[in-house]
Amino acid sequence: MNVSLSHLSKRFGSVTANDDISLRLLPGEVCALLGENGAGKSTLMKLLYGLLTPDSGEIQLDGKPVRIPSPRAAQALGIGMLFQQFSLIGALSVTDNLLLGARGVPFWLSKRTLARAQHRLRELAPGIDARRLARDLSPGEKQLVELSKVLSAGARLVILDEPTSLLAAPEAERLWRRLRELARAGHGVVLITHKLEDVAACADRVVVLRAGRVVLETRAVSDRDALVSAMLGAPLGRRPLKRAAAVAPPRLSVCQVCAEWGDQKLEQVSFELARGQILGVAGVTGNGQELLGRVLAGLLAPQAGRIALDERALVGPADPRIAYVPEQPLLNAVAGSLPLLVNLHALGVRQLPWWLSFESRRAGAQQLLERFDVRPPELDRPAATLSGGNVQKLVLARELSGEPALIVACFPGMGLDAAASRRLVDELLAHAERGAAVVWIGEDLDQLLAHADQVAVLQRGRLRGPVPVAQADRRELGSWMAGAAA
Amino acid sequence: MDGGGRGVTALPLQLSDSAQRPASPGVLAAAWRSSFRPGLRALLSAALLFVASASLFFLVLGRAPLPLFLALWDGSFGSGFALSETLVKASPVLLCALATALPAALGLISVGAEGQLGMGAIAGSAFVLLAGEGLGLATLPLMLLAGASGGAAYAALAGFLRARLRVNETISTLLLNYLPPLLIEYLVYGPWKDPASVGWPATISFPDAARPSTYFDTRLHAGLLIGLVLVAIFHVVATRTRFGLCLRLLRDSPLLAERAGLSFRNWVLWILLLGGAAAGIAGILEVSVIEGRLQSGVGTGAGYAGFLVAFLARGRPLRLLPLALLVSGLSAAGDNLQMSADLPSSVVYVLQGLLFAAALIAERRRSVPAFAAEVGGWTALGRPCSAGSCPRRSAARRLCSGRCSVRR
Repeated sequence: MNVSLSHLSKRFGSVTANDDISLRLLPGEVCALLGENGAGKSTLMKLLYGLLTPDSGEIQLDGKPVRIPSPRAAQALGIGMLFQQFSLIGALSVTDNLLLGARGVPFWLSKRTLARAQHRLRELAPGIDARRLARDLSPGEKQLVELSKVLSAGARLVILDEPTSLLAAPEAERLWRRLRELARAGHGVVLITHKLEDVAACADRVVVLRAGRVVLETRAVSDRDALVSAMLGAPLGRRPLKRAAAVAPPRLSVCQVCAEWGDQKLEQVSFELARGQILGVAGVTGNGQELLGRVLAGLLAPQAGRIALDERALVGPADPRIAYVPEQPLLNAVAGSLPLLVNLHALGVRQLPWWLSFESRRAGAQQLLERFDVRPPELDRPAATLSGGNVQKLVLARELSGEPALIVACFPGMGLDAAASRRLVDELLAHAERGAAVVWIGEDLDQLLAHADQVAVLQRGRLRGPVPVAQADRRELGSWMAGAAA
Repeated sequence: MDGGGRGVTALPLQLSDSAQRPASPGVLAAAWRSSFRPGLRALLSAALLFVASASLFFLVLGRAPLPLFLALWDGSFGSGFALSETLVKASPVLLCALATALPAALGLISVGAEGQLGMGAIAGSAFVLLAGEGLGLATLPLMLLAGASGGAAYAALAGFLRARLRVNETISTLLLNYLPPLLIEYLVYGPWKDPASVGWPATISFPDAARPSTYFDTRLHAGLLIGLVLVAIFHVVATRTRFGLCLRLLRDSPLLAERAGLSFRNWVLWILLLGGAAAGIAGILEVSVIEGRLQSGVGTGAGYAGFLVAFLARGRPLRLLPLALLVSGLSAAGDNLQMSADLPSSVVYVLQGLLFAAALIAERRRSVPAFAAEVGGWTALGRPCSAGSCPRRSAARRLCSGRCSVRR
């Protein structure tokens, strides 16, 4: 199926998300859409998938102009889309989930229908038992089931929105392989991403979007520098940073901490961090990262063990010495219906005057938004109207603007583009230089190894390590993540 | 941004609507304005749907709709007397709407106004019967205080269950509604029964000192004024003060609120308690002004009508006023329907139900294609919103239509 988008434009109020974009998508080819947060990648694909309607421009399928008013229409035309969030129903088996999305499923489910669905799944992912419940699958397996679901709905063009953002490295590699195979089998594949490694690993062609326009279209998918400079508009320079030497006594000491929360637990977690040290906590998601963040931030009292910051115990959830960047910022760290201005001052709500007035705080807040590049930098805009990456920037602007003694950051880079992740790293390093202890719970081992002083691995609630980064062995860390015995 | 803030709600009991579009300057007040869009189209379609479904209902009863609508109008707003009766009915409804709207500002769904009203009636009556003699002018305020504390204490029970044991407040308040009417029955048939009355189960008539005065030769009483003042206070406090900001923080992100030093547990308790006090005042006023004694069936339906009003108001305090008038107009017209149109007065409950359903449908429906896509597409089977930052999805772990206006 030959898809061509010509002169598509889409505006949201004063923001132009897509500005006169023309693009051809060919069968048998993996096309990567690369760009920063808010570059318009997802918007463009939502136009194609019928979730949004273009303000102007035309979509042609095999030379014939089509109108795609809804996802259902898109599916009927053979266009399928995978979103970042999984749509599988956890309580149902893999087979049931596959049948939910499929076309032409008879009312009475015969063994043959089931077998057909399972056969399709086996072609794509031989390792997945179709009888398992969807909630027991790993993120990578879920992704493959989703993919199978979209394919069994008859999709010949598959759009994937940031598919590797939740995947561990081996799972991402498997997904890349599958996408290559799909392309070889004649499907068209569109990969929305802001990761260069996705592009290099599996794209035939890359289209770089910046500020709603196509700035580069090339088949040189491994040309890192060209892609980065097209994405950002200017090449990034690396800035060498010095760090204060670690001196005793420890700034943060965590001793034999046990905690439980939902289905997560921590067992006997102990470590010490000196002034100015960054601890990188690596691990596969779902091994207690969120809980560790909450406990260190003082939001959950541990069942056993003690945590001391500057040799004093934490004072509970509202400890002013701690900056905390939680996972899922929109749910956990901002009030979506309140303006950015109020969100920036949310932690000090008890110090606000009874009769609210924010006038004196506007200028400072405006500077913060600009310093952290929150887009659009409109103080009165409700936080929920920001894109995911910008919500994260808003949280960083609030949490990293003070002088905390401890910074606990749980997946702080989630949703950030290259420039914003750099700024995040710079800010964290600056705080470390000032003397703060930083616990950086992350998913990207490379990033942790590049910037942390010590690295540890969280696996099933147990902390392995920490070891100084200089002595860290990738393979050993990898085996810790996989749960090998000590 | 198509879709907007309105109508993406999947659960009918969501009492307030969150922001989706940029606000104008003015911080909190602006946030309130923008977060609850006026939705004129929804209002109109609700009205239309209501008239259509009510007509259908009348036709099923074998009656011509138009005369019945006229009878409804006559019985609610058609004459000075009808209007006064509507206003009399509006005062408990307004107070009970407050008892629902206040917890809703915190994201709680309390349906307990009915029970809190009953407990207020019992507590206020207990004060009058046990200590009401010889207090003179102090009687009335103390009686109101007793009624308020009765409602508050009863609501605090649900608040305690929610705060400490995480019992869902909707379930607990709903179930707690069954107790007060039975307790009243027990009291008026048993210990508090007026010995002078032969068959009629009721307490003795309240002394004059415990009967608030009525005005303009009607049954209008101070309850309406109390309700108006409380609504005005609620509006100002919620939109202009730190208290309102705290409510919004707690509703939007409990974790953030906790880090700001606000304790969700305490707030749940106190907000439910305040709401219960409003319903309790409604209860004792119904007893003391309207009946003059405690008897069974006091204030029946006002609690649920209040819930209906609070729901329709979508969390905007000032909207409680016209809506309370509308809903109590419907109840007031019940008597007229009975007398002039020979229909049982319980017809008004059917009409209230239709109004509620009409509002829900109008609220839910957006553009016809979006609606059709949602019903027809596999969105109905649970495809979550495509936007990673969709507040609807994450905030309540609810499925969003995927057409909400959150942009990536």
